[in-house]
Amino acid sequence: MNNYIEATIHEIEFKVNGEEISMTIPANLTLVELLRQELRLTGTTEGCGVGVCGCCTVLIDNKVVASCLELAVNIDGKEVLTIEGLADTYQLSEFHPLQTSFREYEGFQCGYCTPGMLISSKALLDQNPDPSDEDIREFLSENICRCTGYDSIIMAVKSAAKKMNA
Amino acid sequence: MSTQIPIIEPDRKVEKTSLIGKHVLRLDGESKVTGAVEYTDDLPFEGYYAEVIRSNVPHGEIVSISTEAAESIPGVIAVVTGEDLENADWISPYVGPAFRDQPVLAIGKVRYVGEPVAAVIAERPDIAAVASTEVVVKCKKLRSVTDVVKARKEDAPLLHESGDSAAIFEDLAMVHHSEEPNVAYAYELNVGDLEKGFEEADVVFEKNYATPMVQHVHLEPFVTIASYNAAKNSFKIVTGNQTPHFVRREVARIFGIPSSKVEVEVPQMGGAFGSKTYVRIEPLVAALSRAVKAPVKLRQTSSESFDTSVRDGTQTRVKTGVTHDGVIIAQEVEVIWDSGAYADISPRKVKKAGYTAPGAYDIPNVRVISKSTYTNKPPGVAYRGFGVAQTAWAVESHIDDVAREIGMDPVELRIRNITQDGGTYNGVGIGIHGAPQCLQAVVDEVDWFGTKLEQPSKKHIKKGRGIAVTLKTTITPSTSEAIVLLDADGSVNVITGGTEIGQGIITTLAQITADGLGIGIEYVNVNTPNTNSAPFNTSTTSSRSTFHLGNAILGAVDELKEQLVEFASEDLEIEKSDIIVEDGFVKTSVGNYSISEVVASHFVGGGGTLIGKGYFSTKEGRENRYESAFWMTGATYAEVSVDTRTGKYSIDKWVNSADCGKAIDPVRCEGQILGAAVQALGHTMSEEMVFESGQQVNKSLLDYKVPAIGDVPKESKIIIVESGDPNGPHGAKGVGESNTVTVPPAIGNAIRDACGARVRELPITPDKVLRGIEEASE
Ligand code: FES
Ligand code: FES
Repeated sequence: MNNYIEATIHEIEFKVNGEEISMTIPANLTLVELLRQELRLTGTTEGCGVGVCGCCTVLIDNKVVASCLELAVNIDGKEVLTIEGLADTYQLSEFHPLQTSFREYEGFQCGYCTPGMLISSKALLDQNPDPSDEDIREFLSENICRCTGYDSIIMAVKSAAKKMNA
Repeated sequence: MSTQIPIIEPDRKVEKTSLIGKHVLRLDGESKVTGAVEYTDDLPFEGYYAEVIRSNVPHGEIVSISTEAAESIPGVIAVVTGEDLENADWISPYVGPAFRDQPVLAIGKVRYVGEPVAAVIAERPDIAAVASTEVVVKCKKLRSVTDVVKARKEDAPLLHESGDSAAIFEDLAMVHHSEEPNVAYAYELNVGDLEKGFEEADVVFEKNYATPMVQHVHLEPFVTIASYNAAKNSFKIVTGNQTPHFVRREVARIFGIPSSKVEVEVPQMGGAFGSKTYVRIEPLVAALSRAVKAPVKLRQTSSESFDTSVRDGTQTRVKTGVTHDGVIIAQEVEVIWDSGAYADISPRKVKKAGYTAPGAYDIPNVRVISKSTYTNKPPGVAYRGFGVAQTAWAVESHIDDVAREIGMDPVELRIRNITQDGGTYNGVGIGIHGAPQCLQAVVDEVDWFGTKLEQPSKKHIKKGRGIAVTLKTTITPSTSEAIVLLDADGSVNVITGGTEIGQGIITTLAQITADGLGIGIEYVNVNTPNTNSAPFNTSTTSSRSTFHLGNAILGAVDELKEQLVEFASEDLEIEKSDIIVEDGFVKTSVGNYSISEVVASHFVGGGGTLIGKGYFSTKEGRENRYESAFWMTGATYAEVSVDTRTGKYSIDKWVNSADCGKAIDPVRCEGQILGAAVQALGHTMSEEMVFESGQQVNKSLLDYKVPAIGDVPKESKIIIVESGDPNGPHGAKGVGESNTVTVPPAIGNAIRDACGARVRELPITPDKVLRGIEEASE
């Protein structure tokens, strides 16, 4: 019998999008499962499930993580940012400039990659407020988009940076 | 009925704002950048979860399936096998849009590795997953065939005994299995006198080209929820599917119930590209729900997408007769499709892609043989480009080969032979299609005839350039209908069967509706379909939605306007001829009224809804436009650098043009053009389902590489051509596929130009380039 079914239970405390949460979870619950199934934060999508596509990207203590590969127990004592919390990280407008720019440039089509793409882009802009095209390509290299062809994403990230630097 | 309309000053300011040709923010944008959008898997669900057990042999007789161990696991509700379905009196368990050759779960036989054989239903997905490993399937191996040449030999193992048309689609009424072993359907086209054409030609050239099976890689995998209602003997199905009305029809048929008892709802989809067409996992999930009389959800993994639907591989022979001065007078194309174990929509693919196998050229003597072949592999389905991506790889590579044979510039040869707007194609009139303009646009953009590429100083790096052009049909005949509900406050709800797969149809339809009524787009709500209310729509495929649904909406808008005129005429007691609806107003000889004023004052009781209906159908016939309701055309220019020591190459620059007819929203059109091109970049450079002993060995995105952001050419230009389709809404037509077709041959041609290597089998990998360089120097 698989140990998932009778997995050990852990108690963890963490923050998601600023909100403090404590809960008991099975040891082998993945972070994406915790977010989507337990917390009903369905903005984070799951694509490949094997750490390649970047759909499920979230930030843990400001670091980019594929939540499909991360065990939920590992966020104990940490802070997670998902797409649902992105707008609140920017105080000057209702939406994060990345969200506005992605809309303006149609940096998405089906939108399935978009939460991961936006979260990765935020991490990029945190580190590098004025990225070149090359910096963007480098940083987003692990976020797959099957729809857009990417150029609109590069334009959107640059425009967001510009807005934030203005 | 005669409530008095409040009189407003006749000179009230009326502003004309057209939404056509303008960029508007996508209506689903906010939900997509905030994570609020709901895909099927995001919806609240209470019920059971399924997991599929798949065949691990390519061809075999099912001897036994033992389910006891799985069933004894706590939390397992049931295990369902193909035999269970075969013995059930509530289902006729075979499906398919062309032939009913595919069992919902394998019955008696398995025909490919990955074929669904049984399903576990459990209280939780993890329990279903664990239990599925406890189901033991015993098969007696049969001889299998995974190659289209061997599959057609007399002694080949037969995958299917017989096949008659499913008789659903008019254009597929005549399909039947061929006499030739394992040929699901053979299409033939003869124009002029081929042999005479070859005799008259100065040069006759013949070569073979091939493409492998690839997969769509929609990032949202297959997810379906089915809920059987035992009291009503009805189903509700929520699913990511591009053809909800087909799902309804097929599910109703297999359970022997009326269509009205099958409700199919399609939320937003995370990409599809043709994969989520006709029926995929819907009949299975519905059957599971029927078996346990409870809601069942199946969410497949992305690896399982490779087991579910793929793009047919092809082997194509092209023989061309040409004069010294570059007139192509005869062409024979034989394309053999590796359609996998079940035909799905392949008969239409071999027919439609067969029709345009000669490319975008007006050739007087043509013969096309196009054969869909069963092999022990996953089923080939629709994929962006619908077969033309494969045939054009052959023909557009071949045109360059022919040009070299006669010492002519390959673009010159294209220009001399391309079918003209309003010209002939395959011997009949073709109408407006835009292919010459698309070709000319890229030629002009790069000044093809005026410039020569400068070679880099490093001797082992060679630069080259190539062009390809395409002409593609859209699904014909087909039907789209639309209902536009106009509320008393002047806002509207648009109801169609069109699905949002990322292409932006919600917003495009909103633009057409708002523009038609002259109201702001913020007053328009476009619904994702639910077949209980949405009128019929053949499919959201073949880039047909803007054209067909757009036309249906224009019809619905006209009907609304007629009613507004009638109301105003009745209520104001003036002649209908003194009233027009324009720019969001009902303009009359006695004053201008807002639309809402007319609706609100006509009805009583706190509201009222005006219903506008629009129907749009196209016919099929081999005359003029009837072969295709409109034509998709486009061209690609690619510039490459090849490292002749390693065979590695980069695409330094590309230009992609496509004819939109009229761009309803230029930004969205550009998104379609580039998105199509980049998907094809993957088909060109890396994508290939690799099979060993009938088993795919790279069934994961870890091994199956699709383009990442760094793979996209840095220098890029997109050109929107607007030829104005005479039958399109505002002249618009579909634009989602042309550049999926043109990118691979443009790059192949550029590599040939750079270093002499002619790679005739996709993908173009460095080792093939190296081999090509060797061959060229021999
Ligand atoms: S779903 Fe986590 S990386 Fe693809
Ligand atoms: S928008 Fe569809 S995958 Fe990126």
